[in-house]
This record gives sequence, structure tokens and C-alpha cells, in this order.
Amino acid sequence: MNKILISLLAGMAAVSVTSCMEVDNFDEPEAKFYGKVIDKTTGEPILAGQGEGGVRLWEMSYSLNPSPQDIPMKQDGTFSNYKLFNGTYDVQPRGAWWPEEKRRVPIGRSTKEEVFEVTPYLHINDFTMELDNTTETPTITVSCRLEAPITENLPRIMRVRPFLSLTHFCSNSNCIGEYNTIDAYYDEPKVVWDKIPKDEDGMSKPYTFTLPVKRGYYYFVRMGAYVDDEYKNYNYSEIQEIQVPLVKDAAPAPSED
Amino acid sequence: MSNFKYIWVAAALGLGASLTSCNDMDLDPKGILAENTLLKSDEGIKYYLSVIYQDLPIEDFNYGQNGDQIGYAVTAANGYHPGNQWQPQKSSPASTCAEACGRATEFGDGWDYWDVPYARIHDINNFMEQLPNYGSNFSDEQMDEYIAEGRFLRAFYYFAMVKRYGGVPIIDRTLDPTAPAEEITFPRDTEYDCWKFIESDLKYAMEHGSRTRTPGRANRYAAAALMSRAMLYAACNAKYGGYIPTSGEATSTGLMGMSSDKAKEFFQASYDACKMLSEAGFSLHDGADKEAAFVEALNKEVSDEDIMVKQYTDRTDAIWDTSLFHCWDVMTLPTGTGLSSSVGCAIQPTWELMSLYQMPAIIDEEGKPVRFDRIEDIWDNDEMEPRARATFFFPGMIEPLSGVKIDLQSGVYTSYPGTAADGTEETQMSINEYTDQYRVWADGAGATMTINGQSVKVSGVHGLNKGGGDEGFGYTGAFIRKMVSTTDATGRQDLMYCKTPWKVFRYGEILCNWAEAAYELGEETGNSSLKEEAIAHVNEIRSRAGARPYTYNPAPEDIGTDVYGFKVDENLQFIRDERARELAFENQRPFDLRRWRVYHEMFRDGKYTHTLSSYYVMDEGKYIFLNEVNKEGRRVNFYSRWYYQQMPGSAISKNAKIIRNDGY
Repeated sequence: MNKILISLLAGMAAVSVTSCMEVDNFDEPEAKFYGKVIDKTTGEPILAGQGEGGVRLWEMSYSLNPSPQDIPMKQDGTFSNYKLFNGTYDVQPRGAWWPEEKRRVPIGRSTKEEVFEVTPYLHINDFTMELDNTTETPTITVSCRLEAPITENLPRIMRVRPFLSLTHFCSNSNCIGEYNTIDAYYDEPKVVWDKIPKDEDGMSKPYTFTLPVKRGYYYFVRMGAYVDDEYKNYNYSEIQEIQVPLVKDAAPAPSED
Repeated sequence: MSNFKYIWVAAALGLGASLTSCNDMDLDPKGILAENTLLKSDEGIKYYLSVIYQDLPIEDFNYGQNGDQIGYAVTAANGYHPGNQWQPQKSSPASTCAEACGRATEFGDGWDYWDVPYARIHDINNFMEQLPNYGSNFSDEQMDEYIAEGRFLRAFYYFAMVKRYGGVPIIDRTLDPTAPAEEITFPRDTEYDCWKFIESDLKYAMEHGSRTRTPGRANRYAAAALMSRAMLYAACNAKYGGYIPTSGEATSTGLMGMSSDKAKEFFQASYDACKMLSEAGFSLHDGADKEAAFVEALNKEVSDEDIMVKQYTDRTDAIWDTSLFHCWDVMTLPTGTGLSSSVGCAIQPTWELMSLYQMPAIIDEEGKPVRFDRIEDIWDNDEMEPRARATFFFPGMIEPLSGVKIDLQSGVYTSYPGTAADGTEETQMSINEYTDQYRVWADGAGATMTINGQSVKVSGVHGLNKGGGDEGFGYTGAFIRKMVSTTDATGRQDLMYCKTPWKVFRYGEILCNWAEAAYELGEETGNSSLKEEAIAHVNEIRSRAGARPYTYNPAPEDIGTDVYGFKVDENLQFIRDERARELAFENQRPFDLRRWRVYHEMFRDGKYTHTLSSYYVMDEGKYIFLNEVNKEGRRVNFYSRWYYQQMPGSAISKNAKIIRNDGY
């Protein structure tokens, strides 16, 4: 009986090993695709939020109707994926800018870099920040003005707001959430560009907000706005940093007269 | 060892036997009911159509929009396995659009509604192709009626798919499953062509369908009713779809979306279908007692108003996999003697819905809560429209079947010096310094406490049950009355015993459709008499509801542009709100908000639902009602990608010609 069992086991082992003989006919995915999204109007990388928007890929050499894959964009406007299959891809940058056509690119063993030049819907200009540390709860007052590189057919401006973060990642998806739902900390114009109140230079009037902050913390702050497009990603200002001192400042001395 | 030998012998014998069976297999199997038996008589045709009817995509008591019980309770709920929805109200469409509080708070990505409808469409196409072979058994008129029935059923399935996906492949004939794949895989047709296909099927069914009014079976009137509903969806997708920005292949090729100039023809088709039903003699089920009339219209089969009805039995009588039973009473009433004996209160009405009805003000001009001498005074007066009393159980009402008094009270205020806003905070349980100072809550239901040396009732026996979960007790200040049985208590004993019929189509909905189609047509053509006609239809509904008539405003304010970015005027908003009132809990509202393209703005970033919480104010001895965030503190959400559901992955993997929808 033992012999039979052993021979059966040996037979099973032999059968199961044969399935290891076949060599996988697909190479490991190791094609590299990286690049950046540039703001056409300034020549600088687009001011983005970590993981908001990015590049969508369709592997056209794999299927007539491939499912899309996304490469999210980093805060500095760059993106990369080093584990793609060799092939021909359609690529399209998707985010807070005027829509770009798909491009067809071969992505192969040699590194492939792609630069997309786009026109953002909005520039967030004149971002200023001021700390008031003389009150019981310190506050910062932030302000910015909007500029639209292209005004014709610009979708409605939906929301303007500041973002506060305790790390150097600062955006809609990386910010202190407590400020998100309070009406005083955002503005919702919900109108087209023509109806936005403007200064003489064609930019919007300033949007100003005052927000409470905590003593002893180091904040990263920026402002953003989004329009009613398909993706509803924000355009951003630069990030500014501010440290709220541990102790309250003395109130400014009352003036003599 | 010898045992082992026998196994080999047995195996050899078995092999031999199985080889011999390869001869003569190509015989017609006996004992199978096929077309040659079924299509010869009306009784046989009923058998043939029974599964098609059973799987008909009706958003009834058993329909789950999102959550554990997602999908239709059909032979293949969730697309794959047998139905029998267990506690479907926990996945209710009502809670995804803030008609009610419940666990499902998002419309969601849907489920793969694909294999089931196409299987049934195959059955229907086969029925219509085969039936002429048996024509000698029927008169020409009967033949026409059967074909009309088939086309109605096919339109119903297509409607359920097109309203989810936009364009889908139109299959209007049977396909040979053994044919090569490229011959039986088809690309999606455009959304416009799909709606036109549905329209043409229903037009045929309206002209040739049976005139016999059988509530459970389709006739020409059911076809007209579906036409009036489906064409509104088509028209609204055309008129409002362009306001939701999308781009991509599906959009640019018309698979999702239509140009706005198509709206008019669809509004017209809806209008005409409504008119046909009116001319056929349908009317609202009315009476001197408006409350009783409305209750009866939703609880019983009423021949004046019903156009098509889905009937149920209790689970002990039913064939198990048919799902022809439901849990409405036991899931919506609170637990307690004479009421629900199982889950209870899985969905409860919200202030968002209740406040749409004509009812006494709960906040005065200074912003303070109105004081009521008795808790019953909120409903026991001439101000509240009878339809609201027929739709909700308010505190102090008598549940007629059990005779039990609904006992709801949220808590006590030792004093209420402030405004309503002072005591209501946009946080879960509405907590702030003011409520901390004045509000007293009990942890359980039916509690009496000693406060300031005085013994007072703090919570009702049916709620609030603050320390408990989200089942069994009220936390929104009212219960759902609509469709709760007035005659049969068996539905309260356990899950799946309820048999109140579901109104698939009733004339009340037709008047809502008519009003909307007429008003929108008036907008499209600049014809103000059509707009005035629309208000007349609204007022017909309001007359049965016992509510004050609405006066047509010839110069209405545009209240839509600031919120949604497109025009919705006051009159149209009133027509839409009337629909919400009349059709509450009939599982239309999420789809209505969706086709009006207002859903994502109404619930952007997640919105809390609110209550009609009743409090006893101790120092005054009076009652107040507050619309505050309930203790569950769930937020309702809708993302604009849900205006079109993504094509099922299973469909694409079988057919690479299926283009994906955009926005995902």
C-alpha cells in the first residue's frame, strides 16, 4: 500500500512540475514613462496638488478598447511610472487646464519622457498672507486675485478658498479638513468670468479670508480655485510657509492721540 | 491490493458505458415546455412570459439602489444569483436622495445590469418571432395584442438600461448563440437611437395593445404610462445633459448625451401619452375624506387610478425564488406591540421631504420655534394638507390597523429662550453650547426623568432612542405611513410577509409627468397656454391631496442659474416639488434628480439630513419642533460621474466594441 501511495505521489509531483516548464511569454513590465506638465503661459511647471489630475494612458497595442490607467501628478507637475508594458499608448493630460488632445506615443525599453504644455483655467495671483498673533486665537488673513489666461468659454468659477496644511504637501486633498465645511472660509461665485468683480488690470478683485490657527504650529498655506469642468481640480497659488509663535504678541500700543 | 483492482475494473466499465451514450443524442428532449406547447394558448403564453414579467426592472419595495441589497429582486438579483431581498430598505433609493434617512446615502456606481436584461430581451424577441407560427390559434387582433405586449416588455428592459448607461446595443431579433463572435457582438447604438427605439416600441404597444384593464398585465395603457415616463427622461437628458461637462469618445460619438434640440420631440411624446391616458378615462382616486382617499390609492388596488400594479403574496404562499413578497411594513414601522416585530425604521422621513408639504410653520417670523400646546397640533389642524398625514405618521397619530398611538418625542428643553438657529447646529446630533445648557436627552426610549425636581416624560416609546442604533426606533420625528397596510397585519410579523401592491404606474404619476412635459414644452415653444395647462394638472393633484391650489406665475423668477448654472424657474420648481410630494417613497426621486441634473449640486461635498424633532419645553409647558441634524449624522452624496453609469466590465470583456462611458 505504501508503495502505491509513494508512486501516486511521485506521479502527481511529476505532473505538477511540468506546468513550470512553460516560459511566460510576456516580459516583466519595465518600460518607463515620465514627464511633466508645463504652464504654457509662464513656461513653469503647473502648480498642482499631489495626486490631483495627471496623465491618462490607453494601451492601444494591447486592445482595441483598453481600460484606461492613470498616472497621478505630483505637486511639482511631474509624473512617472516605471512599470509599464512595452507598447503604443494614447496619452492625455487631465487636470485644471483647457482640454488637451490625446497623443499617441510608443513607450519602450528606453526611457520615454513627455512634456505637456497646457493652459490652466486660472492663475491664482498676488497671494498674500498676514498673521495676527495679538488676539486670544491667532488668525491668518489670506488674499489672492484670479486671472484667466483664456476667458472665452471659461466654465463657471465654482469656488475660491485657502488650504492649510501641516506638511509641505498642501492642496485640496492634503489639507486640514476642519476648514472645509465652514462657509466663511470659502467663496462660491458660481458665475462665468464676465460676472466676476474685477480690478482695472483685468484680474479679479481680491478674495480675502481670515482663518483661526494654533500657536506653535508651522503651517503651509496656499490658495486655489476651480471651475465647473469635467474634473473639478483646483488651480493653485504658490505655497507659503508661516510659523505661529508659541506666545501671544503684545497688542500694538495705543496711539498717543 | 485487490480493492485497487476493482476500482480499475469499475473505471473501465464506466468509460465503456459513457462512450456508448454518444450515439443517438440528437433527439428532442421530452417533458420540456417549449414554444410548440406554450404559444398555442393564452395560458401557455402567460407561462412563457412569467419570467419576463418577474424580472421586469420595476423599482419596487425590493429594489436596492446601493448597499448590500443592490439591484432588483429578480430571478437574478445583482445580476447573478436568485433574489429574495432581505431588508431591502437598508439599501433604499429613498435614502440616497434624502427623502428618508437610512444606511444607503449615495446613488453609487450601480451594478452590472446587463446579462439579465439581454437574456430577457432575447426571450421577448424569440416570442415575437415564433408567435406568428402559431397564428392559427388566435384572431388577428389577439396577435396584435401579444406583439404589443412583447414590445412593451422589451421597451421596459431597454428603458432600465438606457437610463443607466445611455446608448446600448439595440438587439431587435434573436441571435444564434452558436454563431461566430463577430456576428453576434454589436457596438453601442447612440443614446438618441435607443430612446427612439423605445419610443417606437411603445408607440406600437399603445396603438395595438389590449384595452382590457388587467392590473398585473401590460396593456396599451401601461405602454402609454411608460411612454410618458421614459420620454421625460429622454427629453431631460437632451435638455440638461449638456450642462454637465464631459469629454471623450462616448460623448463625442453620441453614446452618452444628446443635443438639446432633441428635447422638444421627447417632451411632446410624453405629453401625448399622458393625454391618451386622460382620454381613456383614468382619474385620481378621490373622496370626501382626502386623507383616506390618498391612503387607499396607495394601499389597495383602485381601478380608477391604477394603470399597472405589481402584486405580492406572503412568503409562505410564494415560490421562494420569485421574490413576490416584501418587507415594507416591518422595515418602516417602529418596533412595538401591533407595529413592527422585526427590524423597524430602516428608513425614516427627513425634514428635507416633510418641509415640502403644506404644513404649519414651526419657526415664527422672529426665528423662534413656534409653541404648540399639544404635540398633536403639528398635524391635527386645518393647515396641514391631508396628503402629508397620509404619507407620514406624526407624533400622536393613531396607527389605524393596530390602534396604537405613535409616541415620538426627542427630548426636553428646560427652557427655550433663543431662536431655532440657536438650538440647531450643523453637526451630528446638533450639539452646541446652547443645547448643552438647556436640552435634556434620555439614553433610551420611553424614558421619564426627574428634572429640577419635576418628573417629566423625556422620550417617546417609539423614539428617540438615543443610545441605541439606527433601527427599531424613530430619530427623525416621524415615520413613513405611505403604503403601510391598513388591512393586513401579517406583514408586520416578520420579514417578507408584506403583500401591499406596488403601483408600477398610477394616474397620479401621469399628471406629474403631464405637468412637467407641458411646462417644458411651453418653455421650448414659448407657448404660455401650455404652461398654464401644466399648472392645471398640478392643481388636479393638489385637489385630491387636499392642498391649496398653486397660482400660475406669468413672470416667474429664475431660481436655477445661481445654483445649477442653468435656468429653472419658480413654476417649474413647484411642478418638480409637487412630484416629490405626490411620489414620495415610490423610488422615482433619485432618478428624477438625476435626469434634472441637479443631484450633484444639491448634495455637493455631502449634505446632512434633518429631522422634525419634537421637544417639550418645561418652563412653558409647550412643545416645539426643530429641524436639526439627526443622531446618525450621515451625509448624502452624489458625484457627477453618476449621471451615466460606467459600462459593465463583464460586458466589455465579452465584446470589445463596447465603448466606455466618460467621466470615470
